[in-house]
Amino acid sequence: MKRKATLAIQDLCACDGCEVAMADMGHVLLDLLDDKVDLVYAPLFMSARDYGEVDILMLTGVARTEEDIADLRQVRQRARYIVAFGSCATFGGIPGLANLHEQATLLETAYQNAPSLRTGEKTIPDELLSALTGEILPINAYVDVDFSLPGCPPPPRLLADFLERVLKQVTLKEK
Amino acid sequence: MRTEKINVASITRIEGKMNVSINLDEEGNVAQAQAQLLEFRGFEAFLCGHHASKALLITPRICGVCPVPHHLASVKALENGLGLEPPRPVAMLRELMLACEHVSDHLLHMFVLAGADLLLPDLPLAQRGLPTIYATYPQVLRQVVSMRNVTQTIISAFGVQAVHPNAAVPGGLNKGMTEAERQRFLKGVRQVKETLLKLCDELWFPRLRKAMQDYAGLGRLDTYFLALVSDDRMALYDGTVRIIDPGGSVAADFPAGAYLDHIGEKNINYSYAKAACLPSAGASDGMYRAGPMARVNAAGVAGTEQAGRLMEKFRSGFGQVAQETLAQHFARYISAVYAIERAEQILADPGITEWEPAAPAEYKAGEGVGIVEAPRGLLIHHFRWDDDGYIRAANIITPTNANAGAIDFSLKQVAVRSIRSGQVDREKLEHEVGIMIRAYDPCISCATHALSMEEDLFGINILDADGNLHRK
Ligand code: SF4
Repeated sequence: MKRKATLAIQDLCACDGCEVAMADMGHVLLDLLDDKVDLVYAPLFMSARDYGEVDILMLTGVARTEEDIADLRQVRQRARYIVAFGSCATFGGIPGLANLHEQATLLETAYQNAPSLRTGEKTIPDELLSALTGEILPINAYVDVDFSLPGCPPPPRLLADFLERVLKQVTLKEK
Repeated sequence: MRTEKINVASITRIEGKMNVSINLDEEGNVAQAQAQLLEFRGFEAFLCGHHASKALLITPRICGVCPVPHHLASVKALENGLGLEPPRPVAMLRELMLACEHVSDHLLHMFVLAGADLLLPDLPLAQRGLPTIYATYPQVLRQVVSMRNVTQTIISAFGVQAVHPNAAVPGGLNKGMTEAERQRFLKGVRQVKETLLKLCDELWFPRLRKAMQDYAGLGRLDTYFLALVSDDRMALYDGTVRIIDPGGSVAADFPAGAYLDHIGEKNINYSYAKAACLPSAGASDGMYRAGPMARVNAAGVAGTEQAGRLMEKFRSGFGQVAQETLAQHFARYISAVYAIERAEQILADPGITEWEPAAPAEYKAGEGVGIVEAPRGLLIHHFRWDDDGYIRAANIITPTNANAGAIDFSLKQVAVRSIRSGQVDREKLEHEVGIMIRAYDPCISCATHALSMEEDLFGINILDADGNLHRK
């Protein structure tokens, strides 16, 4: 029997809808788990905290902090194939709309101007602030990707076809 | 003060990213526990300048796990401000979509996210998850997938795609339902109800009962609850908002438009989530919880048969108002059963196939509030737009904002169980924190809709009285 391909799904700043689309592949996903795919990392679905080296790494969402960028810069050598998974990773997507506003405006809107905020409760959270990226860019600005699969999220059937192709590629290279 | 991190703990299987920080006092005991929600996205800011009709497509992207309630809260906010009332079949079909989302989402949580703890209690924490559940219970997971397939297909029938839906427009829906679809979906939904009840009776519920014994009292605290009710019954899509006080009495019933009179928010300087509260009852006393347990606590009766039966069982165990944090799992089960029964009731009505396209809405300056029950609880959207229909201000309060305060209190209570005089039972701590947090089923993307700070998945920091990292 052929070895299963290892798959990791890593999310950056995302809505998790791309993962849900994968869950919505339903029986097709379970069939893949039966004999073709070894899911080793996907924080929404499992507790594994890290992954070593994988055949396929699917990245969802956008880099929002310097730390995200640092993470992205070290994934290349850990994965044979990297996929920009979804419109956020491919283009910047809906979170990219933040590019239309100054960062200060984003923070003030949320933490100072909301009508439901109580008086005296309007300090912008700062205890954790690590540098936000000035601009939201597609992830291929930080890491070479092998495939881009846009869609917000990609429809489950398209996703299934896509995985089928990538898996073929993985096994082809093995021969 | 920026806290450093030690060992990343394995609190995964929640929607989004969260760290936990525990501060110790001089004696090395727990002084304070903080859940730090590490995302910030700025939706309220970047909705501004878009046409109000675009909110329907933008807000679902707050959360891929529960896009339908965001879509519907937005359309209700628009209709509220435009003075539009959708025809009855439209309101029913929207409720059907929402009920189906509740079922899909609860199933994912019950059998995968929290399910891994219930179904695989003997497996080391790091190995719990979808692949191991599937390896151990292949038939159960196949059944869960088949059930979700039914409910997600129904949502897609109007919404193009279950994630992210594009179904509702002010006053209507983009698409109706044919009689053939209605019959097919009705059959599917009945099948789901049967499978769900059987699976829970035989496997899931006994496991939950065991977990509740093993972790008795974990994270217990007394709070207010907030949920929609309709004529004293549980409600998802429409109704009045009810506040239940910690003793179980009704503190207030109010319409969506009056939310600012009752609900407030405060910033938390260590988290990107704002904490919602009930200012009239004072800051920490005004802490409220939203979600399945709030729905069960707020309603006099469920309003459907099987959910009603389960609710009686729930009340005989927990009294008029349940406060046990782990009881939220039981309530989630009731909520799933209620939702599938509501879906069945709606689909049994042939009147829902009467559909006509809605006339295009005419915008003039306005403001509106829309409230629905998301799977995780009461969700509020509030928009103000100008004469041309462009959004000028937006405010969104999600259920995880409501639960943010309660999670911190539960955390402290959990931490005390494994930290004494500087001695930390780390394994127990990480384990119990995860169990407790998952009972809340928090949605970090929703709670922090407002930037996105990303850090590690989930870490537990322990700090001594001087704010230095405690290593023991
Ligand atoms: S592409 Fe869409 S579905 Fe995927 S993470 Fe981004 S917003 Fe969510």
